[in-house]
Amino acid sequence: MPFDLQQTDEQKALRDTLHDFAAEVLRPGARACEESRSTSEDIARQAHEIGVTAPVDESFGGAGLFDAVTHCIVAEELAWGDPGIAYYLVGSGLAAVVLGSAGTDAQKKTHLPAFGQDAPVKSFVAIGEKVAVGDLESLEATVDGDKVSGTKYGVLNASDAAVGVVVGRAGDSLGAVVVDTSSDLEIVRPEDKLGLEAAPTAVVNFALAGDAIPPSAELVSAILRAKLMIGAIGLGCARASLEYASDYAKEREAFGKPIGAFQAISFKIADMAIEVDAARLAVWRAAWKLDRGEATLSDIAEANGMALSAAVRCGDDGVQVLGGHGYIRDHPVEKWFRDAVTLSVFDAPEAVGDMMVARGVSA
Amino acid sequence: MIDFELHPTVDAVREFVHSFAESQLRPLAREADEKGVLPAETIKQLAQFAGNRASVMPEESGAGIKESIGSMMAVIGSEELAWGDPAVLLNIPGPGLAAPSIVASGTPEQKKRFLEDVFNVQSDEPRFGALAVTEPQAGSDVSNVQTTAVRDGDDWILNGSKVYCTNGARAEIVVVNATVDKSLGRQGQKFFVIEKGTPGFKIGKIEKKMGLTASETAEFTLEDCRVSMDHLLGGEAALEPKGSGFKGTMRAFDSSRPSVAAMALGIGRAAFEYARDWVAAELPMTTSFPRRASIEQKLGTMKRELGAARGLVWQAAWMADSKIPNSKEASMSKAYAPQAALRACIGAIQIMGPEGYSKEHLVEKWFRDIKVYDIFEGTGQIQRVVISRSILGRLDK
Repeated sequence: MPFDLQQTDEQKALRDTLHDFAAEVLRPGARACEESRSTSEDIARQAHEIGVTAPVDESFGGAGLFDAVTHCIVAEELAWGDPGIAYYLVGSGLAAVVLGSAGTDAQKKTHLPAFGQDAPVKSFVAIGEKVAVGDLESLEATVDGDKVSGTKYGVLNASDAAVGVVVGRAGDSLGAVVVDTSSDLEIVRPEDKLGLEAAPTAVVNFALAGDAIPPSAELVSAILRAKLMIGAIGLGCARASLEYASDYAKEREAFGKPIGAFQAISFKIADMAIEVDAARLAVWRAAWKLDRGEATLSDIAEANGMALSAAVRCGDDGVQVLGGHGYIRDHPVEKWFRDAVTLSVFDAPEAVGDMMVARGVSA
Repeated sequence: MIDFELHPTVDAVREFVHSFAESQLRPLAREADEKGVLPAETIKQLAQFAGNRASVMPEESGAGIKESIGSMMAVIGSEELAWGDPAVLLNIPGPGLAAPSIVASGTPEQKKRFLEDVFNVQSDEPRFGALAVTEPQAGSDVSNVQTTAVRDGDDWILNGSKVYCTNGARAEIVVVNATVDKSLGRQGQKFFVIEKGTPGFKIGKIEKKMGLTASETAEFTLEDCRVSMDHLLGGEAALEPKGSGFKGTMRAFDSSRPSVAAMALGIGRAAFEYARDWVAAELPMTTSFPRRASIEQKLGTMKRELGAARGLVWQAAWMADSKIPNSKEASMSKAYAPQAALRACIGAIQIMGPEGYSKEHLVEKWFRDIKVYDIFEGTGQIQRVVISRSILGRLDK
């Protein structure tokens, strides 16, 4: 197929379903989830019923696999509803992506069927570290056979995950180990965060033996896909700010006119819109490469760099367009700004993304 | 289905144009910049090349395919040519920006007379067309155009002055807008075709510019310049209240904006690649870590932003080819790509240090060339007006 930006009918239908879900369930529920520092079971169950939180093959009782492009469309739409809840819902299913594409037959049989049950499954893929938040090449955690050791930050569901995957360096390549979550993990502390509170995360010390996932190209690809979801969530977060600020600029009047009639505001809206489109195209391109098995870390860094800088900028401008009202929690824009900045740390373009892109420059 | 792979024909064109740009255009860039003109021989070669580009289309791909990928071909070709040398692009003979307005507003007779009969003929001398809208006091604010056209029987008499007209001095035909009825504002402006040599059509100075020096930028005046009714685009019908006027013609530029953005992208990419290769060749690995790290970061940002610009350009072109209204997306590409490319050019100079500002290398030239892309074909600010209006509607009425 030649260059095409048309979504498939299935993707469009899914997007519409998720948009309604985001508007009717996530938006109204976001503040309560934020305050309770968790995503409500009711919301998790409804998302699970739509069948988009974990791509698991039907042969394991799942709702079916979907590709990385579709995964990004899902994450964008959920994040448009609420980035924190989206981070929880998408993040909780990422272990299924890693196990489904890189796990051994035994690992698949052991862990995947749970994702197809009636109740949603909590899981994690632990990648980020204190220093190496985005750079897979400088991870300090090591994987040696079945043993994994290192301290991970931003570990989702650390206290109650059904299954967890920990990523580290295995010599020159990336390694991953499935860890037993039935006995308690060594939680250093729960993370009390600036944003994304609906996704409970913790700092966890891993020094244990688990069940190694054999190193492979599929494993690297699955880890890259997990990282790209951060960008896709950032994209949805950016779009939420853009649309909210646009609606506000049409309604709010100052000096006898809607504030959108002033170029100081309308140009900001135009720049936000450009950032959102540029981010979506970058994220889709990286996802498309992932689906072809061609994506590299630098492709993901490029996409996430665009998406997260769009999220942060749109977050800032969203608050600015609303002025004093933007700073008040009656409106969601201040939350999206906090979410965006928090998200930007999970795969920081400022810290490592651009350098990864530069190193990916083919001579 | 979402797919970022180029159509094989588009890809073949890209390769062909790239090798032409690399072997023929890049080597001329410095000399053309210094002399302010291209060698006549090169311009003839460009005329031939424009034909060669069409011949890359495989036999079986008829008009249908050409239509479905026409805009993609245009942006891909524009990026590659500008990568070779941006000033050269504007020296490719042909009707240039006169074409969209004649196609959009002209009668069938006018299309034949002013486009086919002038440009689709064998000629030893390269032929150009031009469009003149800008006046000394009317840039982005086109409603302020002062050139007038007064009817005199079956003729029109035009008076006024136009500036910054690309290829205006050497053009066979120039399309100009003039006010036929001041009380109607912009709607009272109509387009006229002025032929070379028409009495009262007087060429003024050729501008000396910051960059794009090898592209001709001319001013001219119209002093009691008399043309017949058949030079009014759309003929007498254009004078009807709903007649083809300003708006319709401007809409034709939705298709040219992605191409201009693509040219900007090509310049930015040239600077990025040049700096990247310079770093690889000239900067020893022993260079202090902070310097290397900051250079890597700069290169990474440049690549990321140029990639984003390409996404926006391709999106706008794909929409045009898919017959999806794209005026917002065309403006997005035009608003973003020139600025991303400008940052890339500045970054390249800064990375290369004293060698960056030196005329020994081309990056200082690309910096001078790129700046105008955020100004012509609608400034970045005008693009933002278009974008925000499409999101917010007209709020200033």
